[in-house]
Amino acid sequence: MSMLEVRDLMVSYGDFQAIHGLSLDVEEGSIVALIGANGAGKSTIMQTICGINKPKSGSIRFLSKDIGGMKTSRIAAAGLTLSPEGSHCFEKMTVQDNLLMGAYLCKSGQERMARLTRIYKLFPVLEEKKGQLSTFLSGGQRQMLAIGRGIMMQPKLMLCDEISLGLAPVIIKDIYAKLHEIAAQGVTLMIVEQDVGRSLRHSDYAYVVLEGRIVMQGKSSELDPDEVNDAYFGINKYAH
Amino acid sequence: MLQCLIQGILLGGLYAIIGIGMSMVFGIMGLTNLAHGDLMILGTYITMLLVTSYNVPILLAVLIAVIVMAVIGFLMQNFLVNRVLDKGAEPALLVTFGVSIFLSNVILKIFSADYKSIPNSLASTNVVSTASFSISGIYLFSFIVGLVVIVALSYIMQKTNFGRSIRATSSDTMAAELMGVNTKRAYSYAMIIAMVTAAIAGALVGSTFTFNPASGTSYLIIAFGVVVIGGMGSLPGTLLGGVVLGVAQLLGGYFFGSGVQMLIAYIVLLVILAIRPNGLLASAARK
Amino acid sequence: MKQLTKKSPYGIMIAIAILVVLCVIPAFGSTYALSILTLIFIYMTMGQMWNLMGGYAGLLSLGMQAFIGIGGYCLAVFSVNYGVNIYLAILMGAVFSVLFGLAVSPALFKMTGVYFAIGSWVVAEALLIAFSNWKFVRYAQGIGISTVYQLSGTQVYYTALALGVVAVLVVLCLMRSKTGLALMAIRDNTGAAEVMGVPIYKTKIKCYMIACFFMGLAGGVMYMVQGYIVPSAGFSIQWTVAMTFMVIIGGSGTMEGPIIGAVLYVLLTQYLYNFPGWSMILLGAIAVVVILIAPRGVMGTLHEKTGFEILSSRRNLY
Repeated sequence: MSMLEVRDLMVSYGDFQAIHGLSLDVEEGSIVALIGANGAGKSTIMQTICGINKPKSGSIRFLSKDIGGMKTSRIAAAGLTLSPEGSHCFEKMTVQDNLLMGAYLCKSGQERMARLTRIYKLFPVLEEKKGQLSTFLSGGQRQMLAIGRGIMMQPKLMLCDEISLGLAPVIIKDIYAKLHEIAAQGVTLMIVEQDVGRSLRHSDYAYVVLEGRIVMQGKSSELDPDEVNDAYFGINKYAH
Repeated sequence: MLQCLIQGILLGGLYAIIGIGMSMVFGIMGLTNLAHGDLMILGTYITMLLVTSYNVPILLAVLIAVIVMAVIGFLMQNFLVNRVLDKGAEPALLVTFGVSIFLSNVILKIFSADYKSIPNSLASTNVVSTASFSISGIYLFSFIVGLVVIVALSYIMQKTNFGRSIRATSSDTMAAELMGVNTKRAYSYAMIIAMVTAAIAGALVGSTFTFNPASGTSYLIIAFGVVVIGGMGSLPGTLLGGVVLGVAQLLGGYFFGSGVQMLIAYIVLLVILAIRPNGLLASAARK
Repeated sequence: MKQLTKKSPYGIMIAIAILVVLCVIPAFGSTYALSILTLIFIYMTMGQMWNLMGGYAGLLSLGMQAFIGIGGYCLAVFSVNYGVNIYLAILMGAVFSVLFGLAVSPALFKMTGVYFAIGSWVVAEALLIAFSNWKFVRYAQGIGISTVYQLSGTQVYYTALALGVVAVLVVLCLMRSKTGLALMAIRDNTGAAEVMGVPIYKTKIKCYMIACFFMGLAGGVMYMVQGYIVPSAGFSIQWTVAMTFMVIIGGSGTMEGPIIGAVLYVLLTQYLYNFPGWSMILLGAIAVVVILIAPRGVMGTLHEKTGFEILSSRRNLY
């Protein structure tokens, strides 16, 4: 049984239906990529999985528990969090307080500090900036902070939405290297990415989303980047 | 004049604790609680009732008032404010306005319009008494309590996991939820803290001045003044705001007569509002 | 939009019919009924103006009682002390209200949102203290407006009716003019409106001035009814409570809302007159409940559900 099972998910914003009966699986210990163009519905899927949007119908099961429609904070307590698009750091708080917020559910102060040390080891730059307000960080640093904050929770599954958006290639490379370190520590990851090549390189399994539906899926190593590209833009046979 | 300055500063401590709950609620959920003054006066009446009618020792009476007010704060937040908070600032503001009208008239109905006071020994004692000035016991006591509350609240907000979660909620509700914070409940906690401070402020006000059911309105304006001068949401700012208003009021009374002392305080407030619409400490508060 | 054009002739006919009935009522209505209607017209004017600011222009004010007090005091001082004609004195009250509004607007209009709401309240409270300490207006003792005692109930009734009708017409015309469009643009998207060249400050201040003028008039006519003014009543927050209540209950941002709100408000307060204290408790509770369950008020909810509307503030496109 998969860690996360989404079945026949429908999501709409008012009259506009964004997701049309979508199903996907995330296996424990894997990195799963959601690939798709702007507006394909990737962010909606992620936000619905972690309770920010409510599903209209369909089921979302995480660790065989039905989490569809649950409050975000309860889903987080179950071990599923999201590093949101645009990082959403706590602007008026210091870097360290941001990270400590990640361990909010952990009631032991000692344990919080131990986790903090591990994060600083993973992202040394955050330790250098720990006393600064997060609003003064660069784009890449904010992204690292958002990921670090998520890891502070010690989630079982973390969703990462558009973590490379607007960043310089060298920084993107760095962040993906860290993601693999995080995955190696046993965190299952689901990433959203617009760049097809990068998605396939960094994931074990990939889904291509077009207009709120899955149009292609497969092991990342076996998918043909050109076909994925066609599916991405909805060219001929994938169009509906 | 020295007397006025000293007394104004001490009064500022009292004003700060009147405003601190309103400041917190604004800072955390962006809500201007127009019922803050009436809620505080409700706390005053609860303390007064326990002390005068049931001979409860004053400290115990304050404690009971604090608990009752905390419960009221929780109920108000849970059943009224939380339900309109995501519909924009205006409905929430009007809900608190409705609560304010309701509450002040319930108090009027129960306690009549007569001026009352909470009897206590500090009010008539001067701690320091020299030729040029004297310090009233209750003023000094209020000031100290105000300071203690501000320091304690600042510590809780800055250093504890609970305080961090409340700050996180005010900074980014969605991200706070993602970290496992039940943000609606965080709002309720913030309102409970605000009502606890309001109950303490109410007891101090009732021990220092006489009051009637309409007093809530004037204390709301004082609370608002404290909060805007100090910068909405800034805890140390409230002390500055309180002192500015207190000194303005008493110096105004010294120069123009006690009848217009509040007029002077209001004018100072309006001028500050017009020049620095975000409060004197606005930039410092973000540090 | 077609639906609107079809409906509007009925709307005008209904409005004219109501107006004719109101004009002939003094011929056979009781004194009590006249006094109730008089109050309804005055409160309707206040509600209409509060709605113009809060419902349309996004200027939520808690300080409009300042102008009720100014209007009332102008009537008292000019007609009693200087022998000015009552109607002229009321008009002077409106002029003074506008002048005072102009004087405080540079400060008030620097504030937005909540700051504006409470800033304007502080202004009104300051006036309350100032009048309570002003020898010229006999401090807090107040002034008996002896000049209005000779007026008959019918005279006052027609004055209030005229005030109410003019107020409704002014708001209606304003909303159907370019200013109305500008206001809606500002309400829907301030940033976009500004970029499109809508003069936000000018539009808002125009509404504020109109509201000041009519609040001053309403204050004068109200004290024509009451006959005695003291600062604590003239500058009381209760006026704003009443205005807010009417608009919330009736439906903010609609033309009929304040009218329905005024009827409900006056009937409720009259009905509860014999249970002192309860009317305000009930008002507060009703207001809270309405915001929670029907945030658009009676008219807003009715309009949403049925499309019903008598006086459309929108312009016909055909």
